[in-house]
Amino acid sequence: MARALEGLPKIAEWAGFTGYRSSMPKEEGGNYLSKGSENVMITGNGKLQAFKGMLAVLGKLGGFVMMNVAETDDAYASLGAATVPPSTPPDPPNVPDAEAWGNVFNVYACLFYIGNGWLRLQGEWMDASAAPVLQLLVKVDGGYTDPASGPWQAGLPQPSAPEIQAVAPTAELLGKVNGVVSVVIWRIRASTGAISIQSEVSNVIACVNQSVAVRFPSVSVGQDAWGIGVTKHGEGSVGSHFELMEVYETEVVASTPGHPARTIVIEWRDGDLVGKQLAPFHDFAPPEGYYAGAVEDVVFVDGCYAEDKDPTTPDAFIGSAIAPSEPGKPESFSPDSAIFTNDMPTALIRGDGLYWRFGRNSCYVVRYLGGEKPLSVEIAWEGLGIEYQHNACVGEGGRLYLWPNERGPMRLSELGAPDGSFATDIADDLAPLTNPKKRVVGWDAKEQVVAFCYGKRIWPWFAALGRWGAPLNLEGMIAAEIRSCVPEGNILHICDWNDNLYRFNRGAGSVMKVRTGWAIANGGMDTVALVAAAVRTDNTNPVTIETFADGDDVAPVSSLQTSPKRSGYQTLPSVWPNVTECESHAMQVTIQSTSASGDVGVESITTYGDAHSMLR
Amino acid sequence: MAEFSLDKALAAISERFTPEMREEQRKLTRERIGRLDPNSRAAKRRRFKRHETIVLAQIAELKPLPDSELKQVRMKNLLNRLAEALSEQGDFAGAIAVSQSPDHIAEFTSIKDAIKGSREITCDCPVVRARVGRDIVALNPRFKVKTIETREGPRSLIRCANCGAMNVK
Repeated sequence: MARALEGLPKIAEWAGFTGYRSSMPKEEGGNYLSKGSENVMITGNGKLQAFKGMLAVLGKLGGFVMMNVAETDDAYASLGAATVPPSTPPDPPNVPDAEAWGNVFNVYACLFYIGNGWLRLQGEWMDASAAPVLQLLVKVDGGYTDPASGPWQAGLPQPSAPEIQAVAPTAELLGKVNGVVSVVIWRIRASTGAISIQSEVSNVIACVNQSVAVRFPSVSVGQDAWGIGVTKHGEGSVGSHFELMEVYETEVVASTPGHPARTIVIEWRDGDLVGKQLAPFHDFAPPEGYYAGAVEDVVFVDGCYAEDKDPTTPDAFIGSAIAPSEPGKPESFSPDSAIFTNDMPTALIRGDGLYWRFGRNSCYVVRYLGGEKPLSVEIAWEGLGIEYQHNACVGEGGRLYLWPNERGPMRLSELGAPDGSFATDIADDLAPLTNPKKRVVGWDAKEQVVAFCYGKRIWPWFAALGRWGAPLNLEGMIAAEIRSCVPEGNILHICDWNDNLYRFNRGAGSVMKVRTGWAIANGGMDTVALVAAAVRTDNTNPVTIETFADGDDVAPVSSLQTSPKRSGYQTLPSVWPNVTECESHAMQVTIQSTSASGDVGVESITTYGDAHSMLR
Repeated sequence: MAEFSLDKALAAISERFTPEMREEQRKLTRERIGRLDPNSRAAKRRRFKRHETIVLAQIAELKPLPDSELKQVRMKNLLNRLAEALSEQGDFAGAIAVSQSPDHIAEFTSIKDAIKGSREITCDCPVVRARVGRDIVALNPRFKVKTIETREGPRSLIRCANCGAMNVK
């Protein structure tokens, strides 16, 4: 090449690319990737790297809304299904979900879910669907398929009052009860510690050195234990009931020998009640709602208490309140602790130890502060919100990213406000993308990428570098447009509209296009005689080098091919486009990556040729 | 790039959420919280009606799925939930028809029979008087088991602890 270059001055050189900028003015020079670049990732200290494509996840399916759950590290769940199992004739065919929203999360050994749409856990069909009431599946023997797993509705109904009798003490008992007493009971789900409010009071009995036989009503669905509350001796007609003990339903079914079915014989002294709590009286089932989450030992339901709304309106059942559970009791909700806001929720997104709660025009932060009212709901900003859960995600260091409108992506600034300045470089690309349902935002911790997805394209923001990669074109890599995404094992999983799952940047390669910004002729016009490009490649397939001239970024004036002599870093054999008299020029190198582990990229592009100072 | 600090952002949000704004939120909550009574008849009826609707929808979704052990498990649980939702609304016949639990069927049947029966006391078991210290206390074996919904509205389900007779009044 040294011989060839003799006498040819360098016109322009592009190296050390600073990322993709679709919105740059053409007259603004610089080492950036311009509009037309495609499938370019940025690694290391700014090295261009070909996008490796998508790897289909076989045997697992996603859903319309996806989120991480705490089953295992980075496990995921989804709500909403486009692909449903075939029906059994003559039953009508199964209908896929039209819409889905809501949340799935773990509390203790249970999977709670609320919203709308079929539930999948880790890509597996669960034969359960979400509704605007909090439901749960209880983990039994490591899975959710046991008859005792449910699905149950969160909260337990008030039981009937027990029937009691004074009886002679059984072998293990002493006959401790003296005087008039009565009993209340309540339902318990041991797996979550859920309790109902106490029953009505039993019949009142008088005991003389006797025990008390308590006959229980039938068990509720999803209940596995009972709580028993008793009065002090002599206070059966008027006294308060204190928590005495809990018994498992299996003990109730077994009954105390010699007594009727579902009867347990108990006894107590007044001293046993010292320091005991009153029987539960404000442990109500959770209200209906659309979203829910868990922070520390509090579960909360969002979008509830729509009771006073006109039932004929479309949002009739979406309320504006957030109802927290009692601390440590994920199924007990007292109306006294509800928090009302001015907005109805459109998305609830789990962050680092907190939740971001969006309305169409607002963002709140829901945090655990402890104390008597442990849940704090603070408005972060007004005037900007999202319509769908997949319009936002949490990225590096718990930073919130969102794509609220066609003005482009936003992120949380350290001032706690939305900041869109980082996305001005790609504003032109995103402005025509007006359908909010198609805007999907996800985080890949492995690549430190925030993926802004629309249709079959992804705009990757490299958070650690503060640069944009060129848009990733998934045409031919995924079956349908992107619907949602979720990280697993630090790798972003993209879900398409057919529920197919794909691993981000884990495929077998792509066709990368690196297009430079425009080089404006220093004098009047340039002749682009020769182009030299330094690349890294994992194959010897031909590389295409195109020249664009005079600001026309649609049709190249020259398209030439050159083949690498080997794989690895090298300067390609030069091409001679010989484009004469151009006021400006830009170059595009198209190079194919063909392996999942290959190192493919463009290091530099240099053009050589004569310049003259004449104008057209 | 400087590393982002979530703590700083949250501190800034908290700073902007002024005491006046907190007071406004508390006021809004106070105004509306007083209207909430989850144990009221209206709230219960609404809740269980919604539960019935939701469970019916889930049963309809589950029904056409291919037969499997898991489907049977889920279906049984949903039917029992439906029975509970119906019984809480006073539809004991409906609850009996769908319940998969013999215990529940027996309980719902006895309540249904009690509703059909007399409103008056149906057993002769006497009120017993017991001495408690210096006081004499009347111990009525009949007690309120729970409030149930009937066509005439909410009624008390009364049961005799001696003979098991039930009536509704």
